[in-house]
Amino acid sequence: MRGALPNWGLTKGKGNWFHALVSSLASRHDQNYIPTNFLDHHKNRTYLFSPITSDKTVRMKANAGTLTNFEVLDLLNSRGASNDTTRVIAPITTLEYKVYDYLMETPACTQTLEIITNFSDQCEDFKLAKAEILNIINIRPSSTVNLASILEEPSERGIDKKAKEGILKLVEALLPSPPIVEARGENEEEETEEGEQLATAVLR
Amino acid sequence: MFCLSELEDTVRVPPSDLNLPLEVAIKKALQKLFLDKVLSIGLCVSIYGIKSIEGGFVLPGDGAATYKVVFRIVVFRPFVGEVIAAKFKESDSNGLRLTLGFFEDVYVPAPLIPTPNRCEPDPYNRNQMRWVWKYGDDEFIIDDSCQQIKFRVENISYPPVPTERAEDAKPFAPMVVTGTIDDDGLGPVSWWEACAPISDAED
Repeated sequence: MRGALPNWGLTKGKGNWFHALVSSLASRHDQNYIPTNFLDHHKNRTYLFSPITSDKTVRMKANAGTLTNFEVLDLLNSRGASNDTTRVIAPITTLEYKVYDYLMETPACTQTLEIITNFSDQCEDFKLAKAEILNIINIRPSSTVNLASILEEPSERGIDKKAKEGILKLVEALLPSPPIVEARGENEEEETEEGEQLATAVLR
Repeated sequence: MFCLSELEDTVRVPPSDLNLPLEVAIKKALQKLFLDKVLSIGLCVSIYGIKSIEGGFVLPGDGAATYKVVFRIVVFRPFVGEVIAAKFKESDSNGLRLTLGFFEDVYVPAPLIPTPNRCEPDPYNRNQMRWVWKYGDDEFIIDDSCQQIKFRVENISYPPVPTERAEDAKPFAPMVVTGTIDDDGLGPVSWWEACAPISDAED
């Protein structure tokens, strides 16, 4: 009858390539939160009661693809989310705006689709798990210590110091640097300075 | 952090919305039903798109049209092992509580804060406790001044809805993410800004 509508969210071509890449998680970080006694492996569907309305059965496929922070931000941007103060015009709910505000402070706000597909292509040499590539794209580690929390058992997998430096160089080269989150104290000082300048300008 | 999930559900479009285009009316009904709610798959953030709509029958005694809709939603569901940047919300003797803006139930229990540490009453806030990490001779405080705190997800739990609650209990949290900050690179970002590896043999 009716297919998916292109004016909601990303069109089918854009972004699905990356969905396919990350959705087949081969690593230990598999998306298995659903208690296995509900999972019907044969049919690949879970039947369960949703906590909101317990008398309803909602049939679903729980994981149709993992999204990077950038893809969610892109989705919200394509619907018209922006930083303007009057947020009534675009059809975006309060919760979506909170997500938007959160994502604008992460490295996702400076990325584009080409950048992340390029990065994941070039990560092939380092034999990283899909979950680790996702983590790196979302966090954008800038030093070995930041990378350490992302990589799991690097010594056992043969990722030595040289490989870590290689990964960091790749991050430095391909992923743009994250936005600078200003400290609250600095903001207040800037405002008072501007206020004083305005006052002096008016007096003149 | 976010996933797409495909769901199929029967949606009831109230009679007042029947003058709107069908997709808009169904999306409105879906948003009311799923947005900002926690399902077993996680917190629903946004409707990604509708794949198919069937039905449109009006059941007897009801003025609304009922459709069977297959659609996809964006769900917030971090995986175990994911590193997420959050902000400090509050802390007490059990541990820390962090917030992501749209999701506020991230807890770091006391055993997952780097040791040796101690908990002291907060000098600025009478009701709160402050956690301090002692490393060598330096002491690092975890409180409101930390801009971003990185944590790694240890566990996600969906506690069942309680039938009885005490008067002053905290509001019920249907989804609780437990995190750890006890590792290299985790915890407040300012802790790791100027640091050097301890030994090369660590690799």
